[in-house]
Amino acid sequence: MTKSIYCSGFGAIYSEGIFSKLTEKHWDDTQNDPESIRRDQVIDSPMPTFGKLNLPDKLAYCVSALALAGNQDCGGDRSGICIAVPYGSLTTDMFFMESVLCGLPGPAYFSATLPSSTIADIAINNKFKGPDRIFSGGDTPVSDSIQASFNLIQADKADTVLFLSVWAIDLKNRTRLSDAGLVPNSAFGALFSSRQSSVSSLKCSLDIRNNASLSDTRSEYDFCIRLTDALRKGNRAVIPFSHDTPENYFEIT
Amino acid sequence: MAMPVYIAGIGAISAGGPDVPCGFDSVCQGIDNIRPFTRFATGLNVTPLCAVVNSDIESIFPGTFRSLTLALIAAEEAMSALTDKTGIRLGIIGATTVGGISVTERIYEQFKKDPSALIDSKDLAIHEPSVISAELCRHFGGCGFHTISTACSTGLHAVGIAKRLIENGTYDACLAVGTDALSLLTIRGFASLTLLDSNGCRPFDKRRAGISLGEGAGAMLLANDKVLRQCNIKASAKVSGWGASSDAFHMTAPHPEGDGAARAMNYAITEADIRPQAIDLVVTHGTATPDNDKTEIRALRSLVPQLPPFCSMKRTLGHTLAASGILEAVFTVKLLEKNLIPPTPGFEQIDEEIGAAPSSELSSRPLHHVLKNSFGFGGNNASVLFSKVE
Amino acid sequence: MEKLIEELKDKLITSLKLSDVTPADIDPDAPLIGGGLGLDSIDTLEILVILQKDYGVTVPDVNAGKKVFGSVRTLAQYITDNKVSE
Repeated sequence: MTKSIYCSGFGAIYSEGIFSKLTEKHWDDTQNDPESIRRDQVIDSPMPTFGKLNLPDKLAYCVSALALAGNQDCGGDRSGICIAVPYGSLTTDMFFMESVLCGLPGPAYFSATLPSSTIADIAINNKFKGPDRIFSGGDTPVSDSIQASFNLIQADKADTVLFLSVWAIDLKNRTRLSDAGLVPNSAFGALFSSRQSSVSSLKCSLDIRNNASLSDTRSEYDFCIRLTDALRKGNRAVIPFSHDTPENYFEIT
Repeated sequence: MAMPVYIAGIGAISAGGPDVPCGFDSVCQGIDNIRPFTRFATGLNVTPLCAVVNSDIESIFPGTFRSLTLALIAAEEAMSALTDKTGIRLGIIGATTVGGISVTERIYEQFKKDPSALIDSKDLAIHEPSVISAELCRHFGGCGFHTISTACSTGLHAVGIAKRLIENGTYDACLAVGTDALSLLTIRGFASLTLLDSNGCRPFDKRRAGISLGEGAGAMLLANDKVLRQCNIKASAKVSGWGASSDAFHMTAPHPEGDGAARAMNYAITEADIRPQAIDLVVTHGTATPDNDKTEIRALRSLVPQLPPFCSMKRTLGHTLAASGILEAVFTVKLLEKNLIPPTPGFEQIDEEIGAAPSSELSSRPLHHVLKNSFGFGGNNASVLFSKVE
Repeated sequence: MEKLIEELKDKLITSLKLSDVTPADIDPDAPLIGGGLGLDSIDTLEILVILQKDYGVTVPDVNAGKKVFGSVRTLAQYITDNKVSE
């Protein structure tokens, strides 16, 4: 039997600002990139470990905090995380390599080079002990990850899944890479559940007819932006994964 | 109940040898393949002890970086079983932690000498772990590829994911490949975490003090009934259960009670619909860190108080990171087929805190169900139950 | 010694990238690891790097290190006792 799936929270960080179900914030004058996001812009209580988070981990943590805000009944071994990291740990790897070549490898950098470290603090602090899926690189990690989120709930492996997508390359490293084609630093997160936890939870569904035609990094980023807009409005909407393939879409029903 | 998913083909290249027969022999003999590492300078005061692939593999697939070469070699061995691909939807799951890092390291050295040099976007592309899966898909004519990376548990999760994709009808056959080559990043990285044992790894031993790194690739071709019939394959084993869990405890230390590990093992056993007491052998993660070995047995005891026989292959193969789960799973399947329990080289003295000793010599007994564990940094746990096709 | 303690507090905050923490928040005698700063075993290793890089001091093994990392004061004491004089 197919379960109904609800989106009970979301969070997004783009160059335009910080967005969630409950808030919309713009960057202040000292901030020229999501890289400079501050703890107090996303999380109310002090968090000494916030500053230690490398950029992918930090952005993922922020959108997960936004998506989880106001959602008390998740956590435990029926709550999982599915994350797409199109750039993997490239930016952290570069900092680690630099520390190796300087003769003093940074242990914190090393343990953060694993793409799975991007969800470690989220899982630890929110006690999400259920199944995790991490989709790294390639052309379609976002659609793989969102499909996995829905599949885990449908297959009764989890009641709640935090779906995340992070595009992160530090500004310092961007200048070393030929920047053209890199997506701006951004992140998106949504909390999917088989339970309608509040009236404002949005019922949604996913229809992927043609896996072979799902496209590329830039298209997936555009998809998340359109999805963010639709979730903010909260009305019924059909959001195709890309304009060329209307047969693959996310729907707010 | 889901359709059975069979193991139609296996492949491996490791410190034990360039294929499954050689590697399996090395595992059964309990050969110690840990040696001082000399392929490149690591900058460490003490030369690290590692298990390397000794065969000359550079020229087998020209133009490929090392972990891709290893992947292709193992994959070709596994895929030799697929004699008739007509109408078969083939999927690829690629599992790696470092992928093309050797290229990245080279770029970095160049960059340090000349900061104004731009980086070729082709080289940037190689950094992505997905390059391996993409190339495997192209090489074998697959219709879809996926890449996963969950640290040391990746390879075993690849087997689990391949199982799911066949069960849900996405593919008829799915090739799971896990690969990692030794790199400066991993050697210096594990050294910076003080996790390398300067005496070589000693799984479950009282004096164990850390891991020994290794390199290699393992490949497993999973398939449904239709594929077995079409290619006339007589499968000796099937993947009967897969468990995945998260400790949600710490970035590099396991949960002290082995909570997440126990859950993963329990999910695998439950899916296979067997009693915990029916497990005949556990091929552990057994990395020889003080924490892992203790918590792994604690977790196992919570499921099976009398403890089934258990072993570790880490002294023979090294800890091959993303490859480890699937490389050791390949040999696990061979053990199941041949009804053998291998020794655990590196173990000498029992640790009272663990209160149990791994198998210390090669022995034979009927095996029906064998459990393989693989636990990754950040508390990501994988457990797969392999069952004999009776 | 007090000057070194204050210097160490600054270094810990910068090098370990602690947020929402000022030097005044750090009690020099409180446990460093597992205390209110949220420091863990990885931070222990990062502190080893600081000791080596900024003070030329090494710790022979991680177990000895556990005593050294008792508090900011024990850390300062270890540096004073072992620093290579210029």
